[in-house]
Amino acid sequence: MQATHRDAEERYTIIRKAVIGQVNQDFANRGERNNNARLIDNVALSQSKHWEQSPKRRVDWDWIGGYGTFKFRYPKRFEMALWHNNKLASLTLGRPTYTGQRMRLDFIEACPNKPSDLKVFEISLFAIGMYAEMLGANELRVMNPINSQVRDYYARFGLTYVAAGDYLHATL
Amino acid sequence: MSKKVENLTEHRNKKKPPTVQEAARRAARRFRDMVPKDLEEPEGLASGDMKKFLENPDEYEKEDDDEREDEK
Repeated sequence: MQATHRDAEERYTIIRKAVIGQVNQDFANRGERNNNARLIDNVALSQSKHWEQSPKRRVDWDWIGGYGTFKFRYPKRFEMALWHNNKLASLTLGRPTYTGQRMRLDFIEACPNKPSDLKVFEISLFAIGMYAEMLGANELRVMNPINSQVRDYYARFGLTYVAAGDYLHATL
Repeated sequence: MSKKVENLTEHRNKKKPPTVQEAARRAARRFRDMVPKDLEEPEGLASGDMKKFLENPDEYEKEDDDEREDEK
């Protein structure tokens, strides 16, 4: 790892941790003591393997490989593992674009068996929106919704769908 | 008399970044407080194309090329 890459990794980890801390503060303010946000670690990646056994799962992603490659390429990335009652509820990865004008939410997956009243997208959007604000981005994009039901759900958050790039976006 | 033209990215970088509390307030106002409480999250929610990313990360990254063009 080059020194500049390591330096960026360290600087942006400070911002990532500040955002995660604020998400947990928000949980405390709302009395949601069962919820906990963390950076993605080996424990979270290991738990994500259990999702493979669920018939409710809609994707067959390799989070261990995906996270490893994403982390290596993007020191400025956003990442979050959301836990509910000490079970992994979702994983989220995103990154600022080349110029930093935009923030992308590249990948999010909810645990296929999470409680239906736990809204992981809302929490993840709040968190990456906060990260985008701290980095000075002026647009947020949510990439590649897996189906029309998910796309329509995202639109309820004020995001607008762009078919040409298969993403939804909002101005910050 | 000539007027100095400032690069947009440089101008943005000069702005003082918000505190995490300010950023949280803005993000909550935009994405957390306006959403109907009875809105149900779809089962098996996911978005992204991790296979495309893992197969060819360089190609995947080219999606940002429109922004690079904007900067020129």
